[in-house]
Amino acid sequence: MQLWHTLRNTNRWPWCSYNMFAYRKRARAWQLRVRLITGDGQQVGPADPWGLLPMEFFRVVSTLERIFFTEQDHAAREEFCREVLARLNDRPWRGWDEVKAALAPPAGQRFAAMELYLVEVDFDQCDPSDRTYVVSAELLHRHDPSAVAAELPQPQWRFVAECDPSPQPQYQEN
Amino acid sequence: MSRSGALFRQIFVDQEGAHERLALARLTTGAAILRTIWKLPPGEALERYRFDGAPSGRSRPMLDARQYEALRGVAFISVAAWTLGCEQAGVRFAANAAFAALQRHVAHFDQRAWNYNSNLNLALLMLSVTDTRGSLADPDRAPSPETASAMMAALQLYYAWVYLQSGVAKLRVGGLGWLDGRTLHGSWAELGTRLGRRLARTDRRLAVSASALSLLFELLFPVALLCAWRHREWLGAVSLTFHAAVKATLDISFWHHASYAVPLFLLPARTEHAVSAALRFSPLLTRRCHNVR
Repeated sequence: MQLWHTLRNTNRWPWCSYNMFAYRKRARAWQLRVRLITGDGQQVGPADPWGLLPMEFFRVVSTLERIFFTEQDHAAREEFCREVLARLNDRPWRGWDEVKAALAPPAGQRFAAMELYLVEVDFDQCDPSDRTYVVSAELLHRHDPSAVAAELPQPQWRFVAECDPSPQPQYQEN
Repeated sequence: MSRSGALFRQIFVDQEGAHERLALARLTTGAAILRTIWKLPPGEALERYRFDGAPSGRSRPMLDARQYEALRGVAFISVAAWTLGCEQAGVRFAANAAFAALQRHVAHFDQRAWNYNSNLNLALLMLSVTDTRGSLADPDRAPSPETASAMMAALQLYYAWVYLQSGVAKLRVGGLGWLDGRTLHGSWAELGTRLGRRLARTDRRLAVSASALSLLFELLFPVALLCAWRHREWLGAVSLTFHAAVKATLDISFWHHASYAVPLFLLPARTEHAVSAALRFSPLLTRRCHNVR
């Protein structure tokens, strides 16, 4: 059964196909970045979004894709962001292997707003240690109930020179 | 007896120290499951963000947050009791049933996301069918030496089988093109630790070589295990080295699988005696609940 799932590239619990990294990456990829803002305007990020939820990073990405791409419900997005900020502020968690630690505000501060960006990176040209180094960046959603983010400038993206962005991905349900 | 027949007996029938290794595998399984349950997503997050799309016509578990947390508690307590030596049938049943229901629920959180650790369910089931407490086992329920040997062989071969599946999956989806190194190079950049991100800035030939080595390791591990059975402790060490390298570069250890290299291949079987001596004072054992069937 397991081999059958491997050959079909599917997972159906309890059968595992163990298809880790069984895909082909291209030179460019679409990724998500998050910027979190405290009540007094301090920023964390743009950073990878894995520390937004207390679950494995791939489940976090899958959840974000669903809420911010495949579903178009603005109220649900706002509710999601409100809950995420509450959890980060009041119930942070520690990382363990594929569960990444909660993104933490500066000492004594609380997050008041968040922005989610869709970025395109070029693995050959972008410096992976700099998460602001991208081909393109687009704001997907801003949750800013106390209007602290609106007063801030855009994140300081470093764009790859002379590089055209690819068409945006169309996320579809499997 | 032919050479292959002798090897078969050596692996499946006459494996030295099988009882002891089963006991060590039991402790590894218990510890890994307890750690897994402890770090599962909180029920409120699972309930809130679960994917409710059509799951290919299959029924979906519908636990709310409180039911999930209760199930989590039952699984944790029953697995902890079993790990510490409680052999009551109710405890073994509760440990298997609760952990299976829990894992299934988490896996169904979003069917597009992987499930990857049902090896723990399989090991729990296999190791709880008989009394696998090694030198503490009730002789009436302990597996015969031949059965213990076959059980140990099944765990060892499953360990190798996981690598084979993983290697085949890469070839199945990416073909030989997977060896161009782009997947590993991009993964270093995307998921990488500080070391991984540094590697992503080096010549891509390094990623090509590392990809080829990884694929060779995964495809050849089962073959090597059978061909070099007498040196399997070295294969266990190679396996741990592989996972340490992945952890150091991609921050993914696959620990729920890799940790089995220790009881299945690396630790001397006699280690079990020291561990059992420590467990003998477990309150669950001193109350002799292991004699209850």
